[in-house]
Amino acid sequence: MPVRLWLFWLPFLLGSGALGFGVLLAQVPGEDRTFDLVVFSLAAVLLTVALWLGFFQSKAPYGRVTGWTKPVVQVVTGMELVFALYGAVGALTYRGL
Amino acid sequence: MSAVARLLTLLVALVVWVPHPIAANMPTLSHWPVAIFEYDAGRVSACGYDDRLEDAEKSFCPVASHPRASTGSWLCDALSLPHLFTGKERDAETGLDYFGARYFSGAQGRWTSPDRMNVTEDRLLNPSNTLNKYVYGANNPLRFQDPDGRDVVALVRPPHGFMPGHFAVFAHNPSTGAAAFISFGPTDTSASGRALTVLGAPMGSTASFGMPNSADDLRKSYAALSIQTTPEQAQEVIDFINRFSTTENPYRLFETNCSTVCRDALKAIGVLPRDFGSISPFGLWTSLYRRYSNPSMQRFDTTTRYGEQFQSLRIDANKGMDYGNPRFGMNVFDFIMLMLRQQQLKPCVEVYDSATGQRSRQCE
Repeated sequence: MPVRLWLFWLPFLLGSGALGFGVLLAQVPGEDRTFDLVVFSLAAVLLTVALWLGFFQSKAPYGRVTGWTKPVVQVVTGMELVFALYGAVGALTYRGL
Repeated sequence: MSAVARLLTLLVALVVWVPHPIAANMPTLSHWPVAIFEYDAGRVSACGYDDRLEDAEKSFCPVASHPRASTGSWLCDALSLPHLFTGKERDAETGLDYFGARYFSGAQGRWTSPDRMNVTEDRLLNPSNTLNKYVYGANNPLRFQDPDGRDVVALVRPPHGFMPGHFAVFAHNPSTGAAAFISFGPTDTSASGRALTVLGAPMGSTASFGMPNSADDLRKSYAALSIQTTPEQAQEVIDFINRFSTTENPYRLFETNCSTVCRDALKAIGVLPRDFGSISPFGLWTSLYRRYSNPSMQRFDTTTRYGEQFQSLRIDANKGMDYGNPRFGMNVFDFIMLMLRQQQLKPCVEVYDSATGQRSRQCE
Protein backbone atom coordinates (compact mmCIF):
# COMPACT_ATOMS: atom_id res chain seq x y z
CA MET A 1 0.00 0.00 0.00
CA PRO A 2 1.45 3.40 -0.94
CA VAL A 3 2.68 5.55 1.92
CA ARG A 4 0.28 8.40 1.22
CA LEU A 5 -2.69 6.13 1.93
CA TRP A 6 -1.36 5.61 5.48
CA LEU A 7 -1.29 9.36 6.03
CA PHE A 8 -5.00 9.11 6.81
CA TRP A 9 -5.41 5.53 8.00
CA LEU A 10 -2.48 5.46 10.45
CA PRO A 11 -3.55 8.43 12.62
CA PHE A 12 -7.16 7.32 12.27
CA LEU A 13 -6.44 3.81 13.55
CA LEU A 14 -4.09 5.00 16.28
CA GLY A 15 -6.59 7.64 17.37
CA SER A 16 -9.40 5.09 17.44
CA GLY A 17 -7.26 2.71 19.47
CA ALA A 18 -6.33 5.43 21.94
CA LEU A 19 -9.99 6.39 22.27
CA GLY A 20 -11.02 2.79 22.95
CA PHE A 21 -8.25 2.37 25.50
CA GLY A 22 -9.24 5.64 27.15
CA VAL A 23 -12.87 4.57 27.45
CA LEU A 24 -11.84 1.31 29.12
CA LEU A 25 -9.37 3.13 31.33
CA ALA A 26 -12.11 5.46 32.51
CA GLN A 27 -14.05 2.45 33.83
CA VAL A 28 -11.35 1.67 36.40
CA PRO A 29 -11.86 3.73 39.56
CA GLY A 30 -9.15 6.03 40.76
CA GLU A 31 -8.76 9.56 41.99
CA ASP A 32 -5.98 10.74 39.69
CA ARG A 33 -7.26 11.03 36.13
CA THR A 34 -4.17 12.56 34.56
CA PHE A 35 -3.44 9.42 32.58
CA ASP A 36 -6.97 9.41 31.20
CA LEU A 37 -6.55 13.03 30.17
CA VAL A 38 -3.31 12.21 28.35
CA VAL A 39 -4.85 9.26 26.50
CA PHE A 40 -7.99 11.15 25.45
CA SER A 41 -5.96 14.17 24.40
CA LEU A 42 -3.66 11.96 22.33
CA ALA A 43 -6.69 10.40 20.68
CA ALA A 44 -8.13 13.85 19.94
CA VAL A 45 -4.88 15.05 18.39
CA LEU A 46 -4.49 11.92 16.23
CA LEU A 47 -8.08 12.10 15.01
CA THR A 48 -7.74 15.80 14.24
CA VAL A 49 -4.60 15.07 12.24
CA ALA A 50 -6.41 12.27 10.40
CA LEU A 51 -9.30 14.57 9.51
CA TRP A 52 -6.98 17.36 8.45
CA LEU A 53 -4.81 15.09 6.30
CA GLY A 54 -7.82 13.42 4.76
CA PHE A 55 -9.38 16.72 3.89
CA PHE A 56 -6.35 18.39 2.40
CA GLN A 57 -4.66 15.51 0.65
CA SER A 58 -5.24 15.87 -3.06
CA LYS A 59 -3.81 12.55 -4.26
CA ALA A 60 -5.31 10.19 -1.65
CA PRO A 61 -8.00 12.00 0.33
CA TYR A 62 -9.30 9.91 3.24
CA GLY A 63 -7.09 7.03 2.23
CA ARG A 64 -8.52 7.04 -1.29
CA VAL A 65 -12.01 6.38 -0.02
CA THR A 66 -14.63 7.29 -2.60
CA GLY A 67 -18.35 7.17 -3.17
CA TRP A 68 -20.75 6.78 -0.21
CA THR A 69 -18.03 5.48 2.08
CA LYS A 70 -16.26 8.85 2.09
CA PRO A 71 -18.93 10.74 4.11
CA VAL A 72 -19.21 7.68 6.39
CA VAL A 73 -15.50 7.82 7.16
CA GLN A 74 -15.70 11.58 7.70
CA VAL A 75 -18.63 11.30 10.07
CA VAL A 76 -17.07 8.40 12.01
CA THR A 77 -13.81 10.28 12.42
CA GLY A 78 -15.64 13.43 13.47
CA MET A 79 -17.73 11.55 16.04
CA GLU A 80 -14.68 9.86 17.47
CA LEU A 81 -13.07 13.26 17.79
CA VAL A 82 -16.10 14.52 19.71
CA PHE A 83 -15.97 11.46 22.01
CA ALA A 84 -12.26 11.99 22.64
CA LEU A 85 -12.86 15.62 23.57
CA TYR A 86 -15.77 14.57 25.79
CA GLY A 87 -13.53 12.06 27.56
CA ALA A 88 -10.75 14.62 27.97
CA VAL A 89 -13.10 17.21 29.47
CA GLY A 90 -14.60 14.54 31.73
CA ALA A 91 -11.17 13.51 32.96
CA LEU A 92 -10.20 17.13 33.49
CA THR A 93 -13.28 17.98 35.57
CA TYR A 94 -13.48 14.72 37.53
CA ARG A 95 -13.26 14.96 41.30
CA GLY A 96 -13.43 11.98 43.55
CA LEU A 97 -12.75 8.26 43.41
CA MET B 1 -56.54 -9.50 97.55
CA SER B 2 -58.50 -12.66 97.82
CA ALA B 3 -57.32 -15.97 96.41
CA VAL B 4 -60.09 -15.91 93.78
CA ALA B 5 -59.04 -12.47 92.61
CA ARG B 6 -55.41 -13.55 92.35
CA LEU B 7 -56.45 -16.60 90.31
CA LEU B 8 -58.52 -14.45 87.96
CA THR B 9 -55.61 -12.03 87.52
CA LEU B 10 -53.32 -14.92 86.63
CA LEU B 11 -55.81 -16.26 84.08
CA VAL B 12 -56.20 -12.86 82.46
CA ALA B 13 -52.43 -12.47 82.34
CA LEU B 14 -52.06 -15.84 80.66
CA VAL B 15 -54.68 -15.00 78.03
CA VAL B 16 -53.05 -11.67 77.30
CA TRP B 17 -49.61 -13.25 77.13
CA VAL B 18 -50.47 -15.66 74.26
CA PRO B 19 -47.98 -14.66 71.55
CA HIS B 20 -49.31 -12.58 68.73
CA PRO B 21 -48.52 -14.01 65.25
CA ILE B 22 -46.48 -10.94 64.34
CA ALA B 23 -44.68 -10.96 67.67
CA ALA B 24 -43.81 -14.61 67.10
CA ASN B 25 -41.86 -13.59 63.98
CA MET B 26 -39.84 -10.95 65.77
CA PRO B 27 -36.12 -11.61 65.85
CA THR B 28 -34.58 -12.78 69.06
CA LEU B 29 -31.70 -10.93 70.64
CA SER B 30 -28.67 -12.56 72.09
CA HIS B 31 -29.25 -10.42 75.15
CA TRP B 32 -31.94 -8.04 76.21
CA PRO B 33 -31.12 -4.67 77.61
CA VAL B 34 -33.22 -4.71 80.75
CA ALA B 35 -34.07 -1.71 82.88
CA ILE B 36 -34.64 -2.55 86.53
CA PHE B 37 -36.43 -0.19 88.87
CA GLU B 38 -38.48 -0.16 92.01
CA TYR B 39 -41.68 1.80 92.05
CA ASP B 40 -42.89 3.03 95.41
CA ALA B 41 -45.92 5.29 95.98
CA GLY B 42 -45.56 7.01 92.64
CA ARG B 43 -41.88 7.82 93.05
CA VAL B 44 -38.80 5.98 91.99
CA SER B 45 -36.95 4.63 94.94
CA ALA B 46 -34.22 2.74 93.10
CA CYS B 47 -33.31 2.00 89.54
CA GLY B 48 -30.52 0.60 87.47
CA TYR B 49 -29.64 -1.27 84.35
CA ASP B 50 -29.03 -4.89 83.85
CA ASP B 51 -25.30 -5.63 83.87
CA ARG B 52 -25.56 -7.02 80.37
CA LEU B 53 -26.40 -3.60 79.02
CA GLU B 54 -23.26 -2.27 77.46
CA ASP B 55 -21.84 1.18 78.06
CA ALA B 56 -22.50 2.24 74.50
CA GLU B 57 -26.20 1.55 74.92
CA LYS B 58 -26.33 3.45 78.21
CA SER B 59 -24.96 6.57 76.59
CA PHE B 60 -27.79 6.63 74.08
CA CYS B 61 -30.68 6.68 76.47
CA PRO B 62 -33.84 6.63 74.34
CA VAL B 63 -35.94 9.04 76.35
CA ALA B 64 -34.57 12.40 77.24
CA SER B 65 -34.59 14.16 80.56
CA HIS B 66 -37.54 16.39 81.33
CA PRO B 67 -39.36 17.30 84.57
CA ARG B 68 -42.73 16.21 83.25
CA ALA B 69 -41.44 13.29 81.27
CA SER B 70 -43.18 9.97 81.28
CA THR B 71 -41.81 6.48 81.80
CA GLY B 72 -38.13 6.17 81.29
CA SER B 73 -37.17 9.81 81.62
CA TRP B 74 -36.64 9.63 85.37
CA LEU B 75 -34.59 6.54 84.70
CA CYS B 76 -32.13 8.61 82.69
CA ASP B 77 -32.14 11.29 85.37
CA ALA B 78 -31.48 8.78 88.10
CA LEU B 79 -28.61 7.29 86.15
CA SER B 80 -27.24 10.73 85.20
CA LEU B 81 -26.88 9.66 81.62
CA PRO B 82 -25.73 12.22 79.07
CA HIS B 83 -28.41 13.40 76.70
CA LEU B 84 -26.96 11.95 73.57
CA PHE B 85 -29.93 10.31 72.02
CA THR B 86 -28.45 9.16 68.70
CA GLY B 87 -26.08 12.09 69.00
CA LYS B 88 -28.62 14.72 68.09
CA GLU B 89 -28.41 18.29 69.25
CA ARG B 90 -31.14 19.64 71.52
CA ASP B 91 -32.68 22.99 70.80
CA ALA B 92 -32.28 24.99 74.01
CA GLU B 93 -35.44 27.05 73.50
CA THR B 94 -37.89 24.33 72.54
CA GLY B 95 -36.25 21.34 74.18
CA LEU B 96 -36.63 19.37 70.95
CA ASP B 97 -33.99 17.21 69.31
CA TYR B 98 -33.24 18.11 65.72
CA PHE B 99 -32.93 15.09 63.43
CA GLY B 100 -32.70 16.83 60.08
CA ALA B 101 -36.10 15.92 58.71
CA ARG B 102 -38.08 16.17 61.94
CA TYR B 103 -37.92 17.33 65.52
CA PHE B 104 -38.17 14.79 68.28
CA SER B 105 -39.71 15.59 71.62
CA GLY B 106 -37.90 13.61 74.27
CA ALA B 107 -40.42 14.66 76.90
CA GLN B 108 -43.25 13.02 75.05
CA GLY B 109 -41.15 10.35 73.37
CA ARG B 110 -42.77 11.34 70.09
CA TRP B 111 -41.92 13.08 66.87
CA THR B 112 -43.46 16.52 66.59
CA SER B 113 -44.50 15.94 62.98
CA PRO B 114 -45.77 12.82 61.21
CA ASP B 115 -43.67 10.45 59.19
CA ARG B 116 -43.69 11.27 55.52
CA MET B 117 -44.17 7.66 54.61
CA ASN B 118 -47.65 6.24 54.40
CA VAL B 119 -48.84 2.73 55.11
CA THR B 120 -47.22 0.22 52.81
CA GLU B 121 -47.13 -3.51 52.57
CA ASP B 122 -43.60 -3.50 53.98
CA ARG B 123 -44.73 -1.48 56.91
CA LEU B 124 -47.53 -3.87 57.72
CA LEU B 125 -45.40 -6.97 57.46
CA ASN B 126 -42.22 -5.76 59.10
CA PRO B 127 -42.45 -6.13 62.88
CA SER B 128 -40.15 -3.19 63.42
CA ASN B 129 -42.67 -0.97 61.69
CA THR B 130 -45.70 0.67 63.12
CA LEU B 131 -48.72 2.40 61.75
CA ASN B 132 -48.45 5.30 64.18
CA LYS B 133 -46.56 8.01 62.34
CA TYR B 134 -45.38 9.80 65.49
CA VAL B 135 -43.72 7.03 67.49
CA TYR B 136 -40.00 6.43 67.62
CA GLY B 137 -38.57 3.01 66.87
CA ALA B 138 -41.86 1.14 66.88
CA ASN B 139 -42.46 2.37 70.43
CA ASN B 140 -39.71 0.10 71.61
CA PRO B 141 -36.53 2.15 71.68
CA LEU B 142 -34.69 -0.27 73.93
CA ARG B 143 -35.08 -2.99 71.37
CA PHE B 144 -35.03 -1.01 68.14
CA GLN B 145 -32.13 1.30 68.45
CA ASP B 146 -32.09 2.18 64.77
CA PRO B 147 -32.74 5.91 64.72
CA ASP B 148 -34.07 5.97 61.19
CA GLY B 149 -35.32 2.49 60.50
CA ARG B 150 -33.31 2.11 57.35
CA ASP B 151 -31.87 -1.33 56.94
CA VAL B 152 -29.97 -1.56 53.66
CA VAL B 153 -28.73 1.54 51.91
CA ALA B 154 -27.47 1.54 48.35
CA LEU B 155 -25.01 4.33 47.65
CA VAL B 156 -24.13 5.37 44.14
CA ARG B 157 -21.65 7.86 42.85
CA PRO B 158 -23.21 9.12 39.62
CA PRO B 159 -21.36 8.76 36.29
CA HIS B 160 -19.17 11.57 35.06
CA GLY B 161 -18.06 11.60 31.44
CA PHE B 162 -16.95 8.09 30.56
CA MET B 163 -16.38 7.35 34.26
CA PRO B 164 -19.13 4.99 35.38
CA GLY B 165 -19.22 6.13 39.00
CA HIS B 166 -19.08 3.89 42.02
CA PHE B 167 -21.40 1.72 44.06
CA ALA B 168 -21.36 0.86 47.76
CA VAL B 169 -23.74 -0.84 50.17
CA PHE B 170 -24.39 -0.21 53.85
CA ALA B 171 -26.45 -2.65 55.89
CA HIS B 172 -27.76 -2.28 59.41
CA ASN B 173 -29.67 -4.73 61.55
CA PRO B 174 -31.90 -2.68 63.85
CA SER B 175 -32.46 -5.64 66.14
CA THR B 176 -28.85 -6.15 67.07
CA GLY B 177 -27.22 -2.90 66.04
CA ALA B 178 -24.79 -4.75 63.75
CA ALA B 179 -23.72 -2.83 60.68
CA ALA B 180 -21.44 -3.36 57.70
CA PHE B 181 -20.27 -1.28 54.78
CA ILE B 182 -18.70 -2.46 51.56
CA SER B 183 -17.07 -0.36 48.88
CA PHE B 184 -15.19 -2.67 46.58
CA GLY B 185 -12.37 -1.37 44.44
CA PRO B 186 -8.78 -1.89 43.33
CA THR B 187 -5.86 -1.17 45.62
CA ASP B 188 -3.60 0.10 42.88
CA THR B 189 -5.11 3.17 41.24
CA SER B 190 -1.90 4.38 39.64
CA ALA B 191 -1.68 4.82 35.88
CA SER B 192 0.21 1.57 35.40
CA GLY B 193 -2.10 -0.37 37.70
CA ARG B 194 -5.19 0.88 35.93
CA ALA B 195 -3.64 0.19 32.51
CA LEU B 196 -2.94 -3.40 33.61
CA THR B 197 -6.55 -3.72 34.77
CA VAL B 198 -7.72 -2.66 31.32
CA LEU B 199 -5.52 -5.34 29.80
CA GLY B 200 -7.30 -7.95 31.92
CA ALA B 201 -4.81 -8.56 34.71
CA PRO B 202 -6.34 -9.42 38.12
CA MET B 203 -5.51 -6.64 40.55
CA GLY B 204 -5.43 -6.44 44.31
CA SER B 205 -8.76 -5.41 45.77
CA THR B 206 -10.12 -3.79 48.89
CA ALA B 207 -13.57 -3.81 50.47
CA SER B 208 -13.11 -0.31 51.84
CA PHE B 209 -12.31 1.62 48.72
CA GLY B 210 -12.45 5.38 49.12
CA MET B 211 -13.78 5.29 52.68
CA PRO B 212 -15.43 8.60 53.58
CA ASN B 213 -13.94 10.69 56.35
CA SER B 214 -17.11 12.51 57.29
CA ALA B 215 -20.81 12.62 56.64
CA ASP B 216 -20.27 15.63 54.40
CA ASP B 217 -17.65 13.72 52.49
CA LEU B 218 -20.19 10.95 51.95
CA ARG B 219 -22.92 13.43 51.09
CA LYS B 220 -20.79 15.18 48.48
CA SER B 221 -19.95 11.91 46.73
CA TYR B 222 -23.01 9.69 46.82
CA ALA B 223 -26.72 9.53 46.26
CA ALA B 224 -28.46 7.14 48.64
CA LEU B 225 -31.39 4.79 48.38
CA SER B 226 -32.68 3.31 51.63
CA ILE B 227 -34.32 -0.05 51.17
CA GLN B 228 -36.56 -1.35 53.90
CA THR B 229 -35.89 -4.97 54.69
CA THR B 230 -36.51 -7.28 57.58
CA PRO B 231 -33.74 -7.44 60.20
CA GLU B 232 -32.97 -10.97 59.00
CA GLN B 233 -32.41 -9.78 55.44
CA ALA B 234 -30.19 -6.97 56.67
CA GLN B 235 -28.24 -9.51 58.71
CA GLU B 236 -27.75 -11.64 55.61
CA VAL B 237 -26.18 -8.71 53.83
CA ILE B 238 -24.00 -8.01 56.87
CA ASP B 239 -22.89 -11.65 56.90
CA PHE B 240 -22.20 -11.50 53.17
CA ILE B 241 -20.01 -8.43 53.64
CA ASN B 242 -18.19 -9.92 56.62
CA ARG B 243 -17.60 -13.18 54.75
CA PHE B 244 -16.43 -11.44 51.62
CA SER B 245 -12.78 -12.16 50.96
CA THR B 246 -10.80 -9.73 48.87
CA THR B 247 -8.07 -12.35 48.59
CA GLU B 248 -10.34 -14.70 46.72
CA ASN B 249 -11.88 -11.90 44.69
CA PRO B 250 -9.24 -9.86 42.89
CA TYR B 251 -10.47 -6.79 41.08
CA ARG B 252 -11.36 -7.43 37.44
CA LEU B 253 -12.85 -4.74 35.28
CA PHE B 254 -15.88 -6.58 33.92
CA GLU B 255 -16.12 -9.56 36.28
CA THR B 256 -15.51 -8.45 39.86
CA ASN B 257 -16.04 -4.77 40.34
CA CYS B 258 -17.92 -2.60 42.81
CA SER B 259 -21.25 -3.23 41.11
CA THR B 260 -20.99 -7.01 40.80
CA VAL B 261 -20.08 -7.44 44.47
CA CYS B 262 -22.94 -5.20 45.68
CA ARG B 263 -25.27 -6.81 43.15
CA ASP B 264 -24.52 -10.28 44.53
CA ALA B 265 -25.05 -9.07 48.10
CA LEU B 266 -28.45 -7.64 47.20
CA LYS B 267 -29.45 -10.61 45.07
CA ALA B 268 -28.80 -12.92 48.02
CA ILE B 269 -31.67 -11.37 49.98
CA GLY B 270 -34.04 -11.08 47.05
CA VAL B 271 -33.84 -7.32 46.68
CA LEU B 272 -32.79 -7.85 43.08
CA PRO B 273 -34.02 -10.60 40.74
CA ARG B 274 -31.79 -13.61 40.45
CA ASP B 275 -31.16 -13.11 36.75
CA PHE B 276 -30.16 -9.48 37.17
CA GLY B 277 -26.80 -9.13 35.46
CA SER B 278 -25.83 -5.49 35.19
CA ILE B 279 -22.17 -4.77 35.82
CA SER B 280 -22.36 -0.99 35.87
CA PRO B 281 -23.07 1.12 38.97
CA PHE B 282 -25.77 3.12 37.27
CA GLY B 283 -27.43 0.00 35.83
CA LEU B 284 -27.67 -1.35 39.35
CA TRP B 285 -28.91 1.99 40.63
CA THR B 286 -31.55 2.16 37.89
CA SER B 287 -32.94 -1.23 38.81
CA LEU B 288 -33.07 -0.42 42.52
CA TYR B 289 -34.47 3.04 41.88
CA ARG B 290 -37.36 1.63 39.87
CA ARG B 291 -38.23 -0.77 42.67
CA TYR B 292 -37.55 1.08 45.90
CA SER B 293 -37.49 4.82 45.36
CA ASN B 294 -39.95 6.91 47.29
CA PRO B 295 -42.92 7.71 45.01
CA SER B 296 -43.08 11.25 46.36
CA MET B 297 -39.59 11.91 44.99
CA GLN B 298 -40.06 10.34 41.59
CA ARG B 299 -40.15 12.51 38.49
CA PHE B 300 -41.43 11.54 35.08
CA ASP B 301 -40.62 12.51 31.53
CA THR B 302 -43.51 12.80 29.12
CA THR B 303 -43.01 11.76 25.53
CA THR B 304 -45.48 11.69 22.67
CA ARG B 305 -45.45 8.71 20.36
CA TYR B 306 -48.03 7.97 17.67
CA GLY B 307 -50.22 10.72 19.07
CA GLU B 308 -50.28 9.25 22.55
CA GLN B 309 -48.51 10.50 25.63
CA PHE B 310 -46.22 8.19 27.55
CA GLN B 311 -44.60 8.79 30.89
CA SER B 312 -41.24 7.32 31.77
CA LEU B 313 -39.57 7.41 35.16
CA ARG B 314 -36.56 9.70 35.29
CA ILE B 315 -33.66 8.04 37.09
CA ASP B 316 -32.23 10.67 39.38
CA ALA B 317 -28.99 10.34 41.31
CA ASN B 318 -28.16 13.72 42.78
CA LYS B 319 -25.42 13.65 45.35
CA GLY B 320 -26.54 14.13 48.92
CA MET B 321 -30.09 12.99 48.23
CA ASP B 322 -31.80 10.00 49.77
CA TYR B 323 -34.33 8.57 47.36
CA GLY B 324 -35.49 5.83 49.67
CA ASN B 325 -38.21 5.72 52.27
CA PRO B 326 -37.22 7.68 55.35
CA ARG B 327 -39.28 6.62 58.33
CA PHE B 328 -37.82 8.07 61.46
CA GLY B 329 -36.18 11.16 60.14
CA MET B 330 -32.43 10.85 60.64
CA ASN B 331 -30.32 11.79 57.70
CA VAL B 332 -28.99 8.62 56.16
CA PHE B 333 -25.48 9.96 55.55
CA ASP B 334 -25.13 11.06 59.18
CA PHE B 335 -26.41 7.70 60.30
CA ILE B 336 -23.94 5.75 58.17
CA MET B 337 -21.01 7.76 59.49
CA LEU B 338 -22.31 7.38 63.04
CA MET B 339 -22.37 3.61 62.64
CA LEU B 340 -19.01 3.49 60.88
CA ARG B 341 -17.42 5.50 63.68
CA GLN B 342 -19.01 3.30 66.32
CA GLN B 343 -17.63 0.24 64.64
CA GLN B 344 -14.28 1.90 64.01
CA LEU B 345 -13.96 0.29 60.66
CA LYS B 346 -10.41 0.41 59.46
CA PRO B 347 -9.55 0.03 55.83
CA CYS B 348 -7.66 -3.13 55.01
CA VAL B 349 -6.17 -3.75 51.63
CA GLU B 350 -5.14 -6.89 49.85
CA VAL B 351 -1.91 -6.26 48.04
CA TYR B 352 -1.22 -8.33 44.98
CA ASP B 353 2.34 -8.65 43.83
CA SER B 354 2.23 -9.34 40.11
CA ALA B 355 5.89 -10.38 40.05
CA THR B 356 5.59 -13.15 42.60
CA GLY B 357 1.85 -13.74 42.31
CA GLN B 358 1.48 -13.49 46.10
CA ARG B 359 -1.14 -11.58 48.00
CA SER B 360 -0.85 -10.08 51.44
CA ARG B 361 -3.23 -8.21 53.73
CA GLN B 362 -2.35 -4.83 55.17
CA CYS B 363 -4.54 -2.91 57.61
CA GLU B 364 -4.16 0.61 58.91
